[in-house]
Amino acid sequence: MTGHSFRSSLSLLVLMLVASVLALSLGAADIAGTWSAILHPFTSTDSQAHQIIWQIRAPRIATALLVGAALGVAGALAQGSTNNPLAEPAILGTAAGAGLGVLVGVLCNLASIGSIGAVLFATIGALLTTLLVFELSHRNGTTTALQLIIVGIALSAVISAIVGLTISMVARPDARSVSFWSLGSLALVQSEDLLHLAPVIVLAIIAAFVIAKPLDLLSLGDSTAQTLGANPKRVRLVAFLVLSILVATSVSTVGTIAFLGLAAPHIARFIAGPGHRKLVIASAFIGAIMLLVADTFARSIAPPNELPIGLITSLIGAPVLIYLVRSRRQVWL
Amino acid sequence: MAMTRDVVMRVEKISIVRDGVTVISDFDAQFVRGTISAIIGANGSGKSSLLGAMSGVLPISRGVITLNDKNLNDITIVDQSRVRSVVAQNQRYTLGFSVSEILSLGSPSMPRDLFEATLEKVGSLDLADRSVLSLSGGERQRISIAHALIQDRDLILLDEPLSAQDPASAARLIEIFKELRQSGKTIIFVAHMQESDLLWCDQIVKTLAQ
Repeated sequence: MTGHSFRSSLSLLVLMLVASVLALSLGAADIAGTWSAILHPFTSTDSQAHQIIWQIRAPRIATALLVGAALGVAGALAQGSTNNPLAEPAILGTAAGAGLGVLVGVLCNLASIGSIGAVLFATIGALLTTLLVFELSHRNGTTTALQLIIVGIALSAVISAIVGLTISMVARPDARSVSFWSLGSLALVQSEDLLHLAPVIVLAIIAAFVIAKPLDLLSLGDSTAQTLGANPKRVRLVAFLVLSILVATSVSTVGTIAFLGLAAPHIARFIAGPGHRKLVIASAFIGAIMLLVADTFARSIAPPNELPIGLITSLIGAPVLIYLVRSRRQVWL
Repeated sequence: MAMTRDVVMRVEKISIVRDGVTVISDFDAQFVRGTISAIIGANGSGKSSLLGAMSGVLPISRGVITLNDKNLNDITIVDQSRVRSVVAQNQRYTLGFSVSEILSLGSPSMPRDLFEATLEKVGSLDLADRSVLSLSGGERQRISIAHALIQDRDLILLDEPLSAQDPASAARLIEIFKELRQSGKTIIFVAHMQESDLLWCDQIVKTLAQ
């Protein structure tokens, strides 16, 4: 890691820690002794402030950081593996496929909502849908950016319609809870969720880091990548698998979060440059910070109401993205 | 047997079909070590498809291509890349890597001195720190050639390497090809040129419109 990229990572880490501490102090409940409880996590553990901050807010903040990092890295993988600046889990059908996978698992009585089994079904649905979108958009050996986007949006719409119609027709409440996924929220997160969320997401991000170098080669096009010794199909399959695991784990915990997978890697590219090793790390940090800030706004702007987090990620991410694209043109294409 | 050993690549009765259309049919050629070969032919006669098949990126529907007497289909992508390098006709870049970063893709441990010496050789040292997204067609072509030179492979396949070059740059590249031949490398390139302009080549292979 060069000095510049080390400093960038360190700055993002500090920013993330500062945002986390601020997020601990903010919330719907107006509590006395907030800072004392934050600064002394292991004393007065039975006070109301301590319980709200460390048992309610802290797990939610940790989840926001993990899911945000997962979606940021998922976006970097989606864009890198398809060599397409517009690719993201929602566009590639990954998120819709995850929902369909869980629904199939639940209706076949093979998985229950919130279980590891559900994550597994979500991963299978996400991977199969992503592969199908990529294959359907492939014509004459190539995929244009436009073909991929149109096929991805169309197939996502078909799958979302199938999921929606199925949920409306069956009388099972557990199947109905899948519909909550389209409205992402961290309000229902339990601290136990972190037990399966953390290891899966951390391992998947490490896997993304490992395939970063071949993803750099893919940016030269499949033919050139192959002549340089990379196997584009294999690299893409591994990237889709890791992407599916990240999205499935996130979606099955907090639902679909709009815009993060698209915006985080683009913002990260301005800080870390185009190389995927640095990009994966920076996208994880940017995604984590964006989701944490969005969730903190969502739960503290208009208490006791929770605002839809997807709208806030769009509201924060889109203007930043537009500013960056206008201020420096040589990002992509 | 001595002749067989000297043939780096052999193309035997191959046919290539693209989108249902036969672009190369029953084609034969062989390429001897330490020579320069030009592939010429009319537009649409399958020159680039032939080079694509020889690069291992385009499947053939019939026949055999051998690399160092082994069927190309039986050689892994990694092993092929250790023996030959390829320069695409119109290399596109989608990410804003610098020229130096692009040259290190595929050979990350190469010292910067070597990158600079190679860039100087192709007349592009001033481009080292430029973003590849800002390069002209001719500059991109020279960077692709520099990328192939850095890999230092025995066989170099190039698709129209001289097409976007001004006369001085083209002459410089031809001198580089001759130097490579001198050092035992084998050069095969697709050209959109008259035979009379290719007298410096050892062999001219013609593809025919189907």
